[in-house]
Amino acid sequence: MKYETVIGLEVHAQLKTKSKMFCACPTSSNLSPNTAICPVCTGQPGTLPVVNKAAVEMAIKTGLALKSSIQEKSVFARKNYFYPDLPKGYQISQHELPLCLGGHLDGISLIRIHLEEDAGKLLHDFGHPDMSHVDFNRCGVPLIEIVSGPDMRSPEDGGEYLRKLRNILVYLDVCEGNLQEGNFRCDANISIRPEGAEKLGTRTELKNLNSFKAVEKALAYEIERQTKVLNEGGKVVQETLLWNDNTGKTESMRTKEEAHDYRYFPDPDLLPLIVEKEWIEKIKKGLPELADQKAARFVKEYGIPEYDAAILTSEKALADYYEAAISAYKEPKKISNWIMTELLRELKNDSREISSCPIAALNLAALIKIIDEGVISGKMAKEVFEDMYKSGKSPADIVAAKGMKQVTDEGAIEEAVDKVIADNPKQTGEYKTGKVALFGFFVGQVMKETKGRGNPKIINDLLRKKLG
Amino acid sequence: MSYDICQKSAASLSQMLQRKEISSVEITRAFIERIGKIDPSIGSYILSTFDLALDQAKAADERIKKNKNVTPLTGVPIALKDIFVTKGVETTCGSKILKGYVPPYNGTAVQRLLDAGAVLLGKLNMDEFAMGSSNEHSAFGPVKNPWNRDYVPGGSSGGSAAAVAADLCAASFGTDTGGSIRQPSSCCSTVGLKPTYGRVSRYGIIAFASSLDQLGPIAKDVTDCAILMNVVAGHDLNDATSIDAPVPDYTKSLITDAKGLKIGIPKEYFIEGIDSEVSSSVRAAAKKFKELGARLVDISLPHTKYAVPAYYIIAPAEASANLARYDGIRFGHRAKGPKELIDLYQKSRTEGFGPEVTLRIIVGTYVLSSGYYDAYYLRAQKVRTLIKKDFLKAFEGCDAILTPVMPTPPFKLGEKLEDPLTMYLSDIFTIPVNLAGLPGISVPCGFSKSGLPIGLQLIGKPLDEATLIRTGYAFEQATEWHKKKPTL
Amino acid sequence: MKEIIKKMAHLARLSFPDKELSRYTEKVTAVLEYVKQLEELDVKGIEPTSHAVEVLGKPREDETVECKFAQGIVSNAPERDGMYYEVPRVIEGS
Repeated sequence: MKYETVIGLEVHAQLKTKSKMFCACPTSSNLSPNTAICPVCTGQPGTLPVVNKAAVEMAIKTGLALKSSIQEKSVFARKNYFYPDLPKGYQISQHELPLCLGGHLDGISLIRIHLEEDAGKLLHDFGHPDMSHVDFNRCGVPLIEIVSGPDMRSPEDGGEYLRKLRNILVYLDVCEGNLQEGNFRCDANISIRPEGAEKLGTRTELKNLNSFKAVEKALAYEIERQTKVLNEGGKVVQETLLWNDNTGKTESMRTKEEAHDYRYFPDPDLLPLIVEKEWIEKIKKGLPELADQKAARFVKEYGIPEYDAAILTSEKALADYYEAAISAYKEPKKISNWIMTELLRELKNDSREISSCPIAALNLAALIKIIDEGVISGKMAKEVFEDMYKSGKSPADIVAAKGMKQVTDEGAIEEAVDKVIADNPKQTGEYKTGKVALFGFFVGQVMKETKGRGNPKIINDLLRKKLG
Repeated sequence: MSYDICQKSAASLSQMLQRKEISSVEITRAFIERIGKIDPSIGSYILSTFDLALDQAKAADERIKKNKNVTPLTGVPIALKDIFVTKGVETTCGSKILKGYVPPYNGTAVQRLLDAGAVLLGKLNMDEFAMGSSNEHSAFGPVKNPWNRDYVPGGSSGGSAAAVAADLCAASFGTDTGGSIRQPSSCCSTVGLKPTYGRVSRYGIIAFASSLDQLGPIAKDVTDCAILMNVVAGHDLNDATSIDAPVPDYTKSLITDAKGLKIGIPKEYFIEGIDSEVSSSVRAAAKKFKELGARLVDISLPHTKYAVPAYYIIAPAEASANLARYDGIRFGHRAKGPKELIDLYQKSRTEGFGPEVTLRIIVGTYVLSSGYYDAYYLRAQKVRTLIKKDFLKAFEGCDAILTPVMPTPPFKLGEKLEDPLTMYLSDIFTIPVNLAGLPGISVPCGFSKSGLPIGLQLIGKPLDEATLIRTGYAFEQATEWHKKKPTL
Repeated sequence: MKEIIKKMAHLARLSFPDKELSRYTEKVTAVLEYVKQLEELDVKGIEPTSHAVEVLGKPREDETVECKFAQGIVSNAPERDGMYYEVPRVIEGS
């Protein structure tokens, strides 16, 4: 039987606030264990949560960018369960009345976006076979949970949705968007059903998806696994599965799967969150330009093809790089070409992010400028570029250090041309009698004579003149 | 001499201190001596902090000597219900599960009291996690009623009321979720004020039922209540439910008449089953108010009888979540040698919580669980709306409401221990006030023939503690009840 | 009912020997019976009250405060390893 895949994704994104969701502890991640903690985020008796305004604003920003409806009244609720990384025995989240309802991202519907607090971290690698250890530094960091509709039909759909979503959050400057570091996390709900069927199949929930690749691989694996189960006449069990990136398999969790009953109820420590229209309007006005808008502007303002604009805006850092280069040298098309070909290729080969690109945008602009000025040839430029990528130096420094400056002095080149003609009487004769194919030979000889620095155009012109 | 000192109100002690007739160290020593002598037979203190108290007393004397930042509480020895989080001082909430817990911070009210220069004698006994009406549900033993040691002092702030009644501190603080300040005050013939929900910050009092909990003073008279309220009332950024509204000087409400006040008498509070001595004492008090110039009006609070059942859904539900943090990992009791995480949780919690707390956690878990939420929790929240509306409507026709605090005088130790439902009903007149978030005060208004205290309750409009203080003060000044002392 | 109470106790991470479970079942049942009288009331169309007072909670500005409590907090741990809390080994994701 042929099956159709149904995928819905739940994304948890850590918000880039300075302080935690309900207390004034810093959110920075690289602190020594249990130092960014206070009575509130460790659930000391008697403590109370107070909502971080910036977290609410960032959630609203996200909601606006994803065309969600921002709710004037939303309610924080307690989600009750016991786990060592959860100090209060409940997580403050939103349940019945979330901050944002609905929305969509490129044809994928969104169900809701709500605010909640992150849990602490459990560590198992202390060499103690019977003990785990808990660090609460991360506990209480603000999260938004973005829940998509079951609208994706393939692992690739899922990957694309995630990349776009991540891109938007980064554009909005509300999340670092780093899957490996765990500040952008994804759980997937996946089921299959016979093609044409309306009723959804039994779903499994996939966790531990730490990269875009892992998401796609895990989904593909799970489709295969579920298909096999059904084809063999079995039933898919509704359960939570962990993706193991090393084995490339999803694994059932070994502990007994308990029926959860989170006993949500409105948190009596927090009054309903009221978001007035004026506040939303103010946030709306301050929204940054998003990828699609930016791409359209690039096409219009810089006259580059839509394809280029789409790639250049696929990451905010790349778009910023591009515009920084333009601000230094107003040749948008040439800069685009260099980024699209040379720069992105190098970065890809190197598995580097644009944010850690060794060539500063201003230096790339400077390189293109000296090509245009004829200071170096296009051929030399490639060499300089490679050097820039390796050393991070400016093109001027590299050109100066290597003495690569193009010879444009006609006198010097004429001297070389004369010398080549004089040294090669045989070829000169043959050329003059019609063997024009020898022109390339002369250019090469002159180039050799000028150590490759002769301006090709001047060489050509002079050779034509002198050889007749 | 020393007992005379302990009998005095906080206001009188403050005057003596400021007139330099006595030092805070002398007063503190007098209390320390009396606690050592008397408290073993009462059991009001869980923990005494005498060394700290003497240090604070010395500092207070310095303040007074230099006349720097002297407040009406500077140098006055008080004690706190052990539900108040005190930095560096063990705080147990009357529970084995918090034995040994030394909080790393001070709550807002505690900090304000310390800043005012109060001297902390110790932490007072209470029903475990404030769940109880008799102070018998304490991991540290029951408290006895100073008026008759065979009787309960009320609860859950039984230690606070008993300590004040037995002159073991000048004044104290308690918390009130369903009557836990007013009911023990009535039992021990002290004055107890539960402020409007949100008037005083809850930051640093251990949560029982967060939407109902309020802290407030338990004192020897209304004047002391006003002084203590002046210190703790007011908005606090650490408590999102605290109200950002101006706080009046409550001592300005200490007026000896009730002229122009309309006092509502709800018929539902004088029903069958109410003890006749209680009923006649409160009716006599009503007459007194009339003499003081108040007008009595009959009112109706029709949903009164549903307050207790609604409360016993809402409070346990909130408590079941509030008490989840006691899991043996970060503080307090941890069971020995658990093999697995689940054992650690179950053993630590089952060993750590007493039977009443355990019962309420199970009830609370039940009413929130899937399939029961709507029938229990949601319905109770709606009934809460009805109860609140009753009061709002009643207050259209009166300024304060007069009722008994409890339907009977204090009962005997052990009498209701095995029957939680009968015990719950002793809060029948105080619980509606918490559900509506209103202020309420308990003022002594008589004694039963057997010599047990009876209190009246005045209920006020939201944020109108001032009227309660005025009404309570007028009554107190016109009667002698608050001047009686138990024989110890 | 006993089974339900056992399940509730488990959700609340409590566990009892059978005799005690019976005792709690009896008591919980009595309380639940008692609160059933709320069913006498018609609550259709009535808004639930979660908070007694209707005030607006003011959000906090996003500012950090130096955490000077860490030592005092961690030192209350019944079991720890340096600055880490220690718990019986947990299988990830359980």
